[in-house]
Amino acid sequence: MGSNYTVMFANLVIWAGIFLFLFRLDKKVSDLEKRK
Amino acid sequence: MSSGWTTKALAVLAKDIRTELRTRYSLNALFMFAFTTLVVVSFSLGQLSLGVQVLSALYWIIIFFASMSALSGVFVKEEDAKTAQTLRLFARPSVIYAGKLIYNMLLLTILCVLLTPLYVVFMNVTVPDWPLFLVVTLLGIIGLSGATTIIGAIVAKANVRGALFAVLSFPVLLPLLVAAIGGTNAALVGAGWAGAENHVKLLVAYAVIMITSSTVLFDFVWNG
Amino acid sequence: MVRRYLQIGLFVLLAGVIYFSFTMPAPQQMIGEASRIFYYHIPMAWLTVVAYAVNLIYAIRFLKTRSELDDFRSLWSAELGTMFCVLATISGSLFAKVTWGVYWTWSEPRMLSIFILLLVYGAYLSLRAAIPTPERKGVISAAYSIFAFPTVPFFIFIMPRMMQSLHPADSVVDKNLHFTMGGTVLPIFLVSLFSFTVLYFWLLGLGIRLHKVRLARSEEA
Repeated sequence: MGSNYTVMFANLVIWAGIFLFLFRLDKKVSDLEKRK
Repeated sequence: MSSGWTTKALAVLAKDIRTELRTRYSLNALFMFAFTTLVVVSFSLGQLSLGVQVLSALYWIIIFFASMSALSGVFVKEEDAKTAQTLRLFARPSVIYAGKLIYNMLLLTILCVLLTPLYVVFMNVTVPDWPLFLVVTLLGIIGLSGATTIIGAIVAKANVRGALFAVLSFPVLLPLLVAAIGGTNAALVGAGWAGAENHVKLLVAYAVIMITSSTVLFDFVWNG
Repeated sequence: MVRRYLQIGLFVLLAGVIYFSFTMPAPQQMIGEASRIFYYHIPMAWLTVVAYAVNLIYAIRFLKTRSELDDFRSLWSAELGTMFCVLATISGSLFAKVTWGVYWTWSEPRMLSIFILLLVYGAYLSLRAAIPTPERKGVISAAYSIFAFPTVPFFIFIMPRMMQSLHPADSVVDKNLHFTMGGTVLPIFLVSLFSFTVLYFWLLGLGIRLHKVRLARSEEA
C-alpha cells in the first residue's frame, strides 16, 4: 500500500479522467438534444 | 364479497387439487426432496448429533429448497397447458390469487405433515413445546406461500423459470427464514412463547405484508 | 454554460474531498488509516439505497402511467444502484479484511444488508433479462421492485437490532456502528456524501436525456 499521498494522487487522476469523460458525454447529449 | 367470489376461489383451488392428485408431481417432488435430505444428513452424521440451532435451521432449509423446486410451477403449468387465458376469463385476479395461495399453503402443509415425524425420527429431535413448534411452522407456511405465489406468477412468462424463481424468492424470503428458524429454535429449546415472541410477531407481520402487497400487485402481474 | 460551471464545481468539491480525506487525520483512531475508506464507502452504500428508492418511485409511477420513459427511469436507476452496491460491497469487504482479518462475515449487520440489496438488484436485473416481451418487462419488473422493497428496511433497521440481542458482546458490531465524527471528519464526510449524491443525479439525468433523444430519433424514423 502506497503512502497516503500516492493513493490521493491516484484518486485525483482517476476522478479527473472520469469527470473529463462525463463532461464530453454531457456535451454530446446536449448537442443531440439541440439538433433534434 | 359475494359468495360468487368464494365459490370461484374454491373452484380454482379444487381444480389444482384435482390436477395434482392425478399426477402427484409436486407432492412427489416435495416429499422426495425432504426425505432424501433427511436421510443423507442423518446418515452422514452417524453417531454425531446436531446442535439445536443447526436442527432448526435444517428444518427450514429443507422446506425452503423443497418450495423452490415444487412451487415454482404454480402458474407456469397454466401457461404450458395453455389454460392461462381461460383462467383469466374465468374470474377476477384476486380470486385466482386466493385459489393459488391456498393451494400452495395446502401443499406445504402436507409437506410438513410428512416431514415433521421423519425429522423427529431421523434427527433424534425432542420437541418440548409442540404447540409453539406447530404454530411457528404454520405461520412460516403462510408467509412462504404468501411470498412465493406471486413470484410464481412473475416467472410464469419468463424464460429461465426454475432458476429465476429461486433468484427472485431468496431475498424476499430471508426475513421469513430468519423468523421461522428463530421461532423453531425457541420451540426446540423450550424457551416458551416469551422467548419466541419477537419471531412470532415477525412471522405474522411478514405474512400480512406479503399477502397484502401480493393482493395489490397480483392484478398487474396477471393482467399486465 | 451554467451547467458546465456546476459540473466543474462538482469536480472541485470532489477533488477537495479526495485531498483532505487523505491528508487530514484518519477519522477513527482505533482502526487507523483504513478508516479513511468511510468517506467513500458510506456514500456508496447511501446511494445504493437512494437509487433503489428512485427505482421504486418510478416503478410505481410506471404502473400508473405505462409510459416507457418511466420504465426506463426505473431501470436506469437500478443499473446505477447496482454499480454503487457492488462498489459498496467491495469497499466494505476490503475494509473488513484490513480491520478484522476476514473478507466476509454474516455477523456484521451492515454487511448483511448490503448483501441483501445486491441480491435484490441482481434479481431485478435477471428478471428484466428473462422477459422477452417489452410490454410485460416493465410491468413485471415494476411489480417485483415494489414487492421486494419491504425486505430492504427490514435488513437495514430491524435485523441489526435483532443481531445485537443475539451477539451482545460482539465488538465488531459495536466498533463499526458509530465513529465519533469530530473535528475535520464531519465536514469532509458531508461534502463527500453531497458530491456523490449530486454525481448520482447527474448520471441519472444523463441516461434519461440520452434515452429521450433516442426515443425522439426513433419517432422521426
